[in-house]
Amino acid sequence: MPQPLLDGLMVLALLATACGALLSRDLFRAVVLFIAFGLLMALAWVRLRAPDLALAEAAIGAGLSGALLLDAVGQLRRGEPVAAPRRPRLTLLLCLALGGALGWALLARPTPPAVMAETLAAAMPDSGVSHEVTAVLLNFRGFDTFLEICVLTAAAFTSLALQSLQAEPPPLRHLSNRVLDVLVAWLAPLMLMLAFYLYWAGSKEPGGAFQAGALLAAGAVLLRLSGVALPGLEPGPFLRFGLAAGFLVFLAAGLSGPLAGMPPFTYAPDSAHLILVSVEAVLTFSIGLTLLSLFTAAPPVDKEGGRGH
Amino acid sequence: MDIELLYALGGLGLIVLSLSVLVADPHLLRKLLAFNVMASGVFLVLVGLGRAGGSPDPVPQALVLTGIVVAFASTALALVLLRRWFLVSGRASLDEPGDERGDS
Amino acid sequence: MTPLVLLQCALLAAGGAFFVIGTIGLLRLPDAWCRLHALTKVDNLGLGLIVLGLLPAAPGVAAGLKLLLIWLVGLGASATMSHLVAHAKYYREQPYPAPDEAGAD
Repeated sequence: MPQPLLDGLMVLALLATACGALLSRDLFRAVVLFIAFGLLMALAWVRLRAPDLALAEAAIGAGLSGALLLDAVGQLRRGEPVAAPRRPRLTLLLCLALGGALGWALLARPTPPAVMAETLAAAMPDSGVSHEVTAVLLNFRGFDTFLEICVLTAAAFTSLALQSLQAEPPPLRHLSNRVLDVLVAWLAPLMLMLAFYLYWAGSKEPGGAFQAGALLAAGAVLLRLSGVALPGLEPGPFLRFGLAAGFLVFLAAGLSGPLAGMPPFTYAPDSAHLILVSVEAVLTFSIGLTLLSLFTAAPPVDKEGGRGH
Repeated sequence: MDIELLYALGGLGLIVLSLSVLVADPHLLRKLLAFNVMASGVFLVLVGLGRAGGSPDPVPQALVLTGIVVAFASTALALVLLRRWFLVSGRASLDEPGDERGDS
Repeated sequence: MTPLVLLQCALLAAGGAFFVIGTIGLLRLPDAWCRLHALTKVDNLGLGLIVLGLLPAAPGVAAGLKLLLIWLVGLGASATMSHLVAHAKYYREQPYPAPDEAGAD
């Protein structure tokens, strides 16, 4: 339903928070405005009728990214001040020219033919799930998603490798606070249940492995920040296997196609649902573990020690 | 003007702003923030280029979902590298202390 | 414009006004303690009035209950976060209390 005032204000708010985040001199303020920008982006996805993207942006873009960046700001604030931007006006002018060209291309674009929509609708019953975005993600363009899992796994193993260069493992920095403990005791089981729901509902409604995995990771980050030691996180066989499990299972599912005479990452219509649901289950766990280990891989900070009791 | 086009033009504005900050600002964390904002702008353009009106187009949405996750993974890895660089060198930018050219 | 719609508009406008007041407080008040106090107006009254304004238009009892749940969860989250911020600030500014003088909690 077109709402020009609402959408116009949303776009202005997006631009304003982005300006505030990128042009502010104080790093902490920049990151806080970036988190606000992420939340507004989630709202924008709702307005664009993309609820899967809204879920993912809220959990990953605003939540986990924000936590990571705040963690980094705590360390980076102590450094020497950095030089001011060089040649800002020339750069802005060139970027404006590029933006003008892109804008003209965007406004002059031809209406795309509706062929893909009909092909997609015709192929949906064979896909094994009834939500279109999940079908495209896991079945029709499953190879792209497989490459995405490769990227995630590579990033996780790279940060693990960098972490192993440290002499001793980073200490478990946490806040010790009774109110936080009570909140976490209530929230952690809820987040686990919600993550399972998002995974399970992903075949019929907005949801799926990525949103569920992000929620799992966020719950685990919350546990870690409140001092609960999660046993699987030290580098060892559990962590390595957990990180690789999603990649391996997805690869196995994709290679099961050639075993039945089909191209890779193609599934027969009657077994597609079972395959996709099981692959998504392992993916959810693996993505959650990957996002969590990307969060915990940060190098330690030599603070004065967390105060509080 | 339909809604996807409006947000796509907003995404263009985000791309212009963040690209100039990405290029001009020597501070690495700000470059990382600019990279993320640019990614969001590109996603808005991607969804805006899809079929306008009628039902939402799932293919760009799946691509953007992939993009969100990959952008986060890149940001996380970049932060690990950035913090390690900061530990080693004490600075948050790649410039040597003596070579700023602050003209214009 | 039935009276119900007018009432909804009034509730939404009041909720929005509390958001604006709280934001002005957040930006202009001198101290973190005062700013926390301003934020409680936003979360309790602002969100609550907006939820109340949206309730008559909810498409069913379940949706209405979900709206109320959103408000409750928002309250719980903001209360906990206010406590955490105040706690962190308090312990950063006070010297670490010795074991025999237990800090006020």
